[in-house]
Amino acid sequence: MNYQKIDAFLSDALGEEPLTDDPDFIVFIRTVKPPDLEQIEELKRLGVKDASLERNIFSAQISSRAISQLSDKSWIRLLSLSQKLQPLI
Amino acid sequence: MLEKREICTAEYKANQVDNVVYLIAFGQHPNNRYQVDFEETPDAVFPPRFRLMHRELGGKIVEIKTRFAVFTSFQSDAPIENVTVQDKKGDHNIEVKQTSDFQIDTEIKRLLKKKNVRYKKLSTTLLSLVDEYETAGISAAVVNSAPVSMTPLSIPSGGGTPEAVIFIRCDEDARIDLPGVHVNSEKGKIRTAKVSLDALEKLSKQNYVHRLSGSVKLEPLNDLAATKTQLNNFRNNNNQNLTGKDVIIGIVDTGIDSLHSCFAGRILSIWDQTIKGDGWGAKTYGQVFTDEKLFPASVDSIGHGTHVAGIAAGNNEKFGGVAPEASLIVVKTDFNDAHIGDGIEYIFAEADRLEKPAAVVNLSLGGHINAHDGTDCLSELIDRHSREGRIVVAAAGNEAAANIHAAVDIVPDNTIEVPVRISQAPEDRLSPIVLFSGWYNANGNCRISVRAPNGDSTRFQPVISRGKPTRYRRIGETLIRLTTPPATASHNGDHGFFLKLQGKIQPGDWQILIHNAGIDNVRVDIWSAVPGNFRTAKFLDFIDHDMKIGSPGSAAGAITVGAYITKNNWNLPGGEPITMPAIVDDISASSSPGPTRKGNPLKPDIVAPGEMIASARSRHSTQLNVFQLSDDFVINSGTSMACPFITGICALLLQQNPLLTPTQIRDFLIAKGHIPDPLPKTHHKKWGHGLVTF
Repeated sequence: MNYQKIDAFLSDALGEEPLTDDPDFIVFIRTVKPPDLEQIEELKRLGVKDASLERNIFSAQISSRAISQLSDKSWIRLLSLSQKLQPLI
Repeated sequence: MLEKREICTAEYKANQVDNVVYLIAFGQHPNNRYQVDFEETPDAVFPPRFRLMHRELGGKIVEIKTRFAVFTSFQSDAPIENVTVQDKKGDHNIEVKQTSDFQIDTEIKRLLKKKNVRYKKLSTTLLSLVDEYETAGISAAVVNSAPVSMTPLSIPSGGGTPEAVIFIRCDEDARIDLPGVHVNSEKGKIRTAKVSLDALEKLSKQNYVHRLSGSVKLEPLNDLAATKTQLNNFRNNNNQNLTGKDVIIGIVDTGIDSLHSCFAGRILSIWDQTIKGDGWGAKTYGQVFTDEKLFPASVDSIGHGTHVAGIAAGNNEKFGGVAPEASLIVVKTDFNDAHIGDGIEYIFAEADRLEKPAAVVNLSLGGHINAHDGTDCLSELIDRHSREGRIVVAAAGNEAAANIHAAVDIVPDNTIEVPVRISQAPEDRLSPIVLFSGWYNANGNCRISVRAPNGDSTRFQPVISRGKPTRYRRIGETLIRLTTPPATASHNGDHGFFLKLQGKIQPGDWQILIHNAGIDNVRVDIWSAVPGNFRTAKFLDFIDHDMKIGSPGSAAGAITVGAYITKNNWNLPGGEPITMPAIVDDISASSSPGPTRKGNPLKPDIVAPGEMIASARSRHSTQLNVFQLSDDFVINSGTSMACPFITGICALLLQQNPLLTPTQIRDFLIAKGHIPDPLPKTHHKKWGHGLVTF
């Protein structure tokens, strides 16, 4: 796991539990530049189903193991935890 | 529903003992058909006026003479001469006898002993509700609160003590911080609050509380928002009748009441992200409904989305929206910002699929666990999705009066202690989490420690560049999780640290200690957030009242809207006015101010009417509203209401020219913006570029 590519909120959310394959984390995945075809396949394999050539930021619900693997990729810029917002009541 | 009719043969007496006035009604009925109550007329006069109400009870009627005696009371520091009571025979002017306690009228004394007068600051309606709750339980209290003009109650999800929305008359600067009491404003002589019935007694005992009254249903009146902005001038400009026709308005919110007459025939689809289903495209969560017969499967139980949609696009003669012929695509979101981004994408993709050149998305939502500089992922997605014919409008937020932002400037080798008060959680609801998001520049180097109210503290934690940057410590039963990653682990290249308190958090004054271990001065900004608002975490020092527009309001690509006050009063049943402590033609006190953390982008962009706005009410809404007009319409306030006003205006602009870009629309709105004298006419941190006026 490369924590230099994991934001503070996701780092906290990962806790100290062992890595699992349960898709427990709603995240944003930011690549250094729009991914190529091979990188798109890798992203899809790890649960990022809407990966495409046109952009470099995606959202997905993935596992801690997938987060760990993605963080070790040189073409990944940052993995961020999705934040819970609120209606402005 | 039980009916109330005014049928009366009663006699009245009134005594004042020190600063409490007691009013009693007593008489006799020929049978046991009725229960009698005092009801305070909900207006702003003093001394209060009362009505004697007879409520028809269910069950077997027994034709036997039935005596009744009821009382009410209110506080007055000054002697009161008369109290007015209205019944079917008309108005009765009751002389108030000034007495010492032992001289109090026998009838009143007998009732006081029976009733237990700990609730002497409560209005009659609240007293009645409390009485029902204490004697007959939750269901009786809720049923008896249902009739028109009684204070409505709700049961919290997950059960618990009923809650009422009430008015609190108190000292202007009173700090109200009690379990079970959730106040909507931190200042003012009249405040609204949602209060657990169990908390009323303790609240009433506070010296700074003068009176507690129930909320009521109001008479409908025309909303002034359109008048103030001269919206109809714009709609009818150049002989056009702009209605938003052929434009899609997207609402990403709590859902919509799809059967509401305001939206009949104009909802194109609903993506409910909160229920199981096939999702949309690669997003395999939630369920998309395109068949209007299935729309009711998605319910707006909060009502926020319905109200917002009504402001933007409701079709109603009296309480219509800005773009009453726009089509609607609705996303009922789970409020994860990643899914909100998906919702925006869905709306624009549907607009593409339907070959609609123009679509505008409304985001009356936000959060503060971010850098407040428009670099968070949702803001970036908004920037990417916004283009010609694809507009996003976001609310500025309602935290202007809340002490959720602290800012400190620290010289090298110095430590600053930032105090924050964490209130006690209500006993019947758990809130095990308090969050803080802190930011400083990339060339800074800070160490963070946390001190609990009992004086125990954690060790100073530096930036952790290798391995997991989160450390866990326990103080008492509070788990402290502090994450201090390097600057590379953030979107904006700055240091962002994250502090989470969990478990049984000690209520009281905590400190966040920040030591500058670098060689340059450093400015640190910290925002607090409490999920669900069960607790509050308020900074006590180093409070910065600016920079409270979070995400997505800080997105450069969004048009960000603050709230303006066009109206602060309504007529109540009977024609008496009620006035809220809000200054007309001013910015709403709660409208979050900019700037963004780095000053760019300039936010907010514009302001629009957002105080006491009437719009559609969801039939399924369980949320209490102080100002309910009818089953179909309700009044709400906040930047959530200002935002869809501008969304509607964007729809009108796009009807004229579907290819307008966000920049062109923003420039148009800025040109129509009006900042009042004597403020300078440049961008203002609360006004933005001013109130949109045509």
